[in-house]
Order: sequence, then structure tokens, then C-alpha cells
Amino acid sequence: MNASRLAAIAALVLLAAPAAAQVEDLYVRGFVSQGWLNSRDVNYLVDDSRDGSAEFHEAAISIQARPEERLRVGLQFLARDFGEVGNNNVVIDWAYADYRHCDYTGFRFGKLKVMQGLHGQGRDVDMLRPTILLPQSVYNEEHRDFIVGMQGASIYGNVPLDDGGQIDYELFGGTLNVPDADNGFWSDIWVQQGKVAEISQPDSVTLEFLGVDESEAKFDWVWGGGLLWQSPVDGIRLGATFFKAKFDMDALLLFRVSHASGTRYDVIEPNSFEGELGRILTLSAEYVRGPFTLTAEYVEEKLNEVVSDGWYAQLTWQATDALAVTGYYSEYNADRDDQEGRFMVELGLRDFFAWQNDHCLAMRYDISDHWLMKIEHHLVDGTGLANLSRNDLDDPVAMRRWWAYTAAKATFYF
Amino acid sequence: MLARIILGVLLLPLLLAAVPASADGHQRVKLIAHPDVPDVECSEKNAQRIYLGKKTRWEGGLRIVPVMLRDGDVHEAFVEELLGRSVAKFEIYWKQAVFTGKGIPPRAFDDESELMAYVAATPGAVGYVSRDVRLRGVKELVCP
Repeated sequence: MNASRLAAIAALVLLAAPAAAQVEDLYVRGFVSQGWLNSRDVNYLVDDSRDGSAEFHEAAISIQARPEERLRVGLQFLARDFGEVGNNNVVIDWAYADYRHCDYTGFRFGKLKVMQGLHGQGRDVDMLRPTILLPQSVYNEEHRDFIVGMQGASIYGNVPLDDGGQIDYELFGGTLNVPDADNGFWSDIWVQQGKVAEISQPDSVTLEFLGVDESEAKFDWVWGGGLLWQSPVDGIRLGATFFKAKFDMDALLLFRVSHASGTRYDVIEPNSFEGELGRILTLSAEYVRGPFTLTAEYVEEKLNEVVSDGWYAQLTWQATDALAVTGYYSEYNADRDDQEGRFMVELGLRDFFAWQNDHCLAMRYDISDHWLMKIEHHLVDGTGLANLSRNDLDDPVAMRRWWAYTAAKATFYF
Repeated sequence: MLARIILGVLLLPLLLAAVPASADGHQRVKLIAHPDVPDVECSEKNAQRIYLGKKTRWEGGLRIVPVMLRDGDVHEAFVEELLGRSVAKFEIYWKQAVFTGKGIPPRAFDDESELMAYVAATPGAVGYVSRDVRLRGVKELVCP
């Protein structure tokens, strides 16, 4: 779907909805973000980030209406370009009906945003946060393509606890779409599978992994939920979210086989991978006091038998009405039981592929009620979240243990 | 690692406690409602739940229709004193709700007389005006 088709659909919805359904409170909002990303030594998040990339763009139109007193319906069109992800194809970001039976209980049906941590549902929307990139140890951009929205249903509500504050809850179930099984999370699994095959051969045969073709992935099911407690102490929120899923992957892996006798040939090996995301558990805490906001979150992700984890602590100072300064430290371990990277070394990679510790300093400046700019710099130890397929793993200069990246972004919204 | 995070979360609020929070009380604004709205206990907690879209029904089932001023000192006083958060945080809360499909913010008015006229004409409506405004067609919800 292209931009003109999106505009036509939006215009039709705007014109038709009030007349057809006599809706009350038709509500239309939108935003456009344009960013720039430049990294040193490691290609990060986009293929050519070491050369600087402006393929860092988001635009959305959101429409909501309340056709009946307890019923709200809405949808959001989103187009984004982040390196090879998105390429400005317009997709339905969310689209659902929300029936609010009472304050304690409501039901949503359609394509929903998945609840993860404090910021998971809003991660497509730049103006909701003080930084450009959320801490990657907890909100991995490589997952964003498929993990933020699901098709299914949820039950949600708000429960006041007298003097104990209030709790928001949500339980959801359904399935996820995989828009592009060649990118990010998926390609990294295949690269690791290829590397495992390389080291699993007998001594008389050398196997060289060349790449992946015809990659496919689909989720069988997902379910999860979350609790967010607004404490009776002003400014304190605590939360926990849980997510579980099962997926299947198929691809053709390309290898070069070399025998001790000198014979060499290429083979195409059909390969399947069954993945069970046993859990993505996120624990969150936020404290707001005057111009300061302190946030800390911890995530634990179990993929088959491997448990990765990460956490961050972030402090934001709203220095003036327009200027906010944020610093955070974020830590990620690809395998909680192998934080020294022994398995990476076995695969012929370097130990620092097993972790990624990020020191970030960011500034946000709200120029007006409809326009803001941000800039941030990251100093990073380790490449645990840098996608292997974006980098030349054999080039000692291309992947350094200590590296850096800078991002800048402007967002316009109404 | 988790222990370090928990320790940090517990300690930093103590450090930040030295920062003064916004003043308590709500001397500068008064809550108003349509005359049909039942006399309920007005509290900051209820005001927060109503204006964050968590409480949607009055006692008896009448739908709550919260309205607000678009900007200005009275709006700032209401958000900071009764809702206990900065205007920026309040706006981000509703932007998040809008762009994730979780809700529609309260209808906003440019001035207090417009807002009061809407509250007077709309069953279930609740809003706020500055303390010195003379009320017409609406009743005041008195918070203890």
C-alpha cells in the first residue's frame, strides 16, 4: 500500500464514519518522525549505519470514534523505514473494538498492541519518551518488527484498592504476524544455526556457512498479560508483564563443503527450527519527583533452553518546560549462564558477542506543542545485540568490543 | 543483578526526596459538574481516575464526561494540584493512549465560560474552573 492509497483510505474513513454511524467524538491524530543514525566500528540496527543512515523514519495516522456509549473503535496506519525493515510500506499498526463493560472489566478484539514493560506499547511513537531509542537490553529493536502487535483479544480493567493505590491489568491471547522473516531476530537465529553446523562436522570435512535463502517464520500462538500498580505514594509505579509464544521457522541454509581429499562443492540444506519463547518477563519501576523521573526495568527472555536477560536504570531531568536531559545505563547478556561468552568463542566468534552494556546521554527539546528534536550518544561495551548478519564477522576491525553510535531525530505531530 | 536493581530503585527515591514536590491542596481551582451528577465524595484519587480514563461511571451508572481547558494557569493548577503530575506528563499519558488506541482524551475548551456551558448542558459532565468564577447551571464538587 503506498502513501496516496493511505491518504485515500484515511479521507474515506474521515468522510464516511460520522455520516454512516453518527459517531460521537471522532478523534484523528498523526505524527511524522525522521531520524539519522551513525555508528562507529559496528553496523547496528541498519545495514550501513557505519556510513550514517537516514533510513530511520516513521509516520502514522490514528483514528478513533465512539459509536456507542460503551464501545470505542479505532485503527492506526503506520509506515516506517528502518534500514531494510519496513521500507515505508503502510501497515495497520493496530485496529480494534474496545467494549468497556465497567471500570473493572473491558474487552478488546482485533489487532492489539502487546503489553511489555512500561514502554512496549508506545515504542512506535517517538514523542512519548525522552530518548530516541529505548534501552535495547529491554526493548530490542530487532524484535519490534513483529512483537509489538498481535491479532486476538484481551480482557483489561482498572481496580482501585482504597488506600492501596490502583491496579491496571490486561490478559491477552492470539497470534503474531512476521512481516519479514529475513531480518533481525530471525536472520540471527539462522546465522547461529549455520555456525553450530560448522563446528559440528568431523575433522575430515570443513563446512563454511555462506548464507540463508527463502526464510519463513510464523507464530502458532501467543499469550500473556500484565499488572501495573499505581502506588498510593505519589509518583511511584511498579509493573510486571509476561509474554509466551511458539513459532516455526523454515529456510534453505547455504554451505560450502571441503573434504580433506581436496574436493569442494556447495550444498543447499533445507532447515527447520521450532522456537518456544518460554517467557518474556519484564519487571518495571518508575518514580517521578518534581522534574526528575527515575525508571528501572529488568527483562528475562527464555528462547528454547537459553535464557537471556537485561536491565537498565534511567534518570531524566526536565530542566525546563522544553528541555529534558536523560542518562541511562543498560546491560544485556545473551545467555545468562554464559556471561563470559564461552559459547561464542566455541562458535569461532569473540567473547564480547555475548553481552552489550550501553551508556547513553540524550537530550530532548520540545520546540513547540507540535514539534520536537532529540539527539543522543551511546558508548557501548560488547556487541550482544548487534545483528551478526549485518557485520563481517571475520573482519577484526569491523567488530570491536568498545564502539559507539549517535542518533538524532525530529518529530512533528498533531 | 536483580538485587542491585531493587537496591537502586529503593535508594534513589530517598535521594530524590530532597526535591520539593508540587504544592498540595487545590485552592486555585474548583471542580464543577452537571446538576444530575450524584453527590459523591470528591477526592483527588477520584479526580485522577476520571481524568486518566480509569473511572468512567458515576454511582448509579451515569457515564462520566470529563472536560478540561486546553492550556493556561487554571489548567496547569488543576493538573498539578489535583492530578498530581506535570502538564507534560499528563499530555504524554494521553498521547500514549491515543497512539496505542487505549483511549480518547477529555474534550478541551479554550475558556472557562465555554467549558461551564458545556458542563451545564451535558448530563454526567465534570470539569473545573478557577476558584473565583461565579457558577451558572452547574454544581461544585467539594473535595475535603
